[in-house]
Amino acid sequence: MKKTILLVLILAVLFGMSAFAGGQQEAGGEAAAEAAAEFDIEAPEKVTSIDMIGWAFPITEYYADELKKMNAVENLEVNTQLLDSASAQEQVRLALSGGKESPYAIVHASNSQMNEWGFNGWLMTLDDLIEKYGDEYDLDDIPENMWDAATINGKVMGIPITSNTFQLIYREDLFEKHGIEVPETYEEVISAAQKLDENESSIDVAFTMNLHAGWAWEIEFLHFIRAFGGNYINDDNTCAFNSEAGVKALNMLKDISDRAMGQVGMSYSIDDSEIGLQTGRLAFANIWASRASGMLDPDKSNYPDELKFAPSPRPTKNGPRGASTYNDFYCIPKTSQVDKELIFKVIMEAVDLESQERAAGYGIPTRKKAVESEYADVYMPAAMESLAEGVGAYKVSPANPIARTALGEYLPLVGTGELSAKEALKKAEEKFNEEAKAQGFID
Amino acid sequence: MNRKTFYRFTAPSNLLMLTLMVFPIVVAVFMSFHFVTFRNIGSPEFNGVQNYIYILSDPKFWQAFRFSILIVIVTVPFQLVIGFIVALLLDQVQTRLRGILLAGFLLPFIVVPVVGTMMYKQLFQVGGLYAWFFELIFNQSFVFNSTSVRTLILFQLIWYATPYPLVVFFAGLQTLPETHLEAAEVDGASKFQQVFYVILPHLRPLLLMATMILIMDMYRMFDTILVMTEQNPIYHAENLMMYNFRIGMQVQRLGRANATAVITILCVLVVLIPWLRKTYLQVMEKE
Repeated sequence: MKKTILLVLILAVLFGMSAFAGGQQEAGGEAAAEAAAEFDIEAPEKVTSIDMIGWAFPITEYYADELKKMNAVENLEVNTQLLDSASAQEQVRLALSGGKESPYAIVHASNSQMNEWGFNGWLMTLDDLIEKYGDEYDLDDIPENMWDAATINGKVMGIPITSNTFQLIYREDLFEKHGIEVPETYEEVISAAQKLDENESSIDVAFTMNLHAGWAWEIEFLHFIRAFGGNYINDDNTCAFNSEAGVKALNMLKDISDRAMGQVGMSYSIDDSEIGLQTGRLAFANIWASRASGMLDPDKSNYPDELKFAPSPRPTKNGPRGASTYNDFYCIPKTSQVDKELIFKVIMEAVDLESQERAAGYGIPTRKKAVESEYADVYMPAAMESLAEGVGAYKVSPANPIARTALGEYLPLVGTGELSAKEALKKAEEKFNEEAKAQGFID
Repeated sequence: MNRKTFYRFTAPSNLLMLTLMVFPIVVAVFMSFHFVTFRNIGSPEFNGVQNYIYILSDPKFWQAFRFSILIVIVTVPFQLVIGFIVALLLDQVQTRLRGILLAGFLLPFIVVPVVGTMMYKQLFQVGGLYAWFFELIFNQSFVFNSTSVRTLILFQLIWYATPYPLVVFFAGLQTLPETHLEAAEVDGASKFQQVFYVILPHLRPLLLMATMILIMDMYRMFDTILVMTEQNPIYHAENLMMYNFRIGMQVQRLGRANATAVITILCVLVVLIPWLRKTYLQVMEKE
């Protein structure tokens, strides 16, 4: 008798569990169908995997989640892999350089990689699809200069997904306490930093800018050489950075690092600057706009109400602001065997207006309409001013990555006094010429 | 076992070794005589010994070589001595605590090197515990410069790799018969004499093996240096692996990177061959 009761009980429990699971499956199926209906993507006939590789920062993490939502479409599997930037780029180079089938259907690229991978012929041209779907996805809403940054030899090779630039983040309370105006130029930055250094005991460092690594020096150098009227390379790919403007720019960077930052400030990485502002050890910094949202988060920042935003200062009095334009793109490798149109539509659905409006809470979107979204944070106006009045983007040229690498190798040695500005630029030029010649970009 | 049977039994592992180790080295040697970038990887251009000439006349290569040697010379003796002392002390602990202590000492070896180095670096960064101590003691902020970064790298490597000789020596100590030590004690040997005349000779083969492996490990160190320096040239802390990485992945001269790899392998062989020869002779003697 006992055995019978036990058997009945077990059967009842099993029946109940299966009924519950069935209900859940049905509800899940309904949710998936509902989610799938959100996207204007026709389900592929057989199971198709779309693998994306990129690197992580808040807005790309958001887009990765948007891409993964497309898994709701029948027979579609979207996988995303976000690494650190160097590792992701290394993986893409290794995957695409051999010319074999690409394991990735979508690759994340910024301006530099667009130059390198685009000129290497590793990316698909997207003009036909942009033409076909331009109206449906309102692609005219993305500014022309962003498309220009994705255009190699007259062909568009990437979809702009986010922008980035620099901006000044400062402690309003400290500025008011010491009667300091928000700096408009770097001369004013030096004065403000010196005043805070002398009079404010609560901080370790008054001011920082991005000078903690070779690549960081190179980025700031771009801001300054452009402001002084110079450039990295000429139209024929010959070296242009070893010039009077280059020397002036580098000397000014050295002056700022010596008088406004000191040895401690120069060793601050971007993360250190972010933490420094959040913890009150640092009074103001010229920093990536993508770091701004962290300042307002009370879980991370001790001064969410005191930290304010302004556009980047100008290296020269009436010149452009010391802030360049960066874009990130989603591209399709030429050797991907997945249906190009399907990949394109997946990207489009992930970065459409509705998605970009929400993305404005994580970074600067590329659609003009999305910038004014209700999700956009208070730092957005200052970032937009930096973009509008800044020095623009890197020149689209196959020799650009060589110039950047050469500069990154020698510019930091000016900061330590091991080389003068002239010596550093001369050495970087020699390195650039050697590589550009070897790779066939100059005679 | 006759030769034929021996070859048949070892064939799968030999084949695997050929595929995974010898073949890449052959490809590296081939590439080292070519001009190759990511753009022409499918059709490299033969350029003779130009890559080798460039590498061997590049002052940065020799700077990297010197730092690699410095790492080996400074860290390996510390790792061996500390590992040996801790193993001796651990051998004296006879309670359950021994297992717990051993697990604790192994921790640096278990942590992923990149993660371990990031945690270590954070201690010295803004708001880090050691940076705070430094400021408290010296009344000035801790600064990452050439001296401090190179010193921190050496300390980190000692911390990271010491558990290896520790485990090797500890295992060796378990095979030392108690009677040897008792006999030494009866003969009036002090603790130091027991260590030098009984324990160390017993551990000699292990000591040689641990030294070889540590030398190779420290010589090809990469992760720690990448995380600590972020490739900033002002630290002058580029070793051969970092030099190779920069030439290959940043400058994208894959031919030169392969030439560097070949030179690096040759340098390792200089250290390794006498040891392999000695081991071979010992085996032949036994036979």
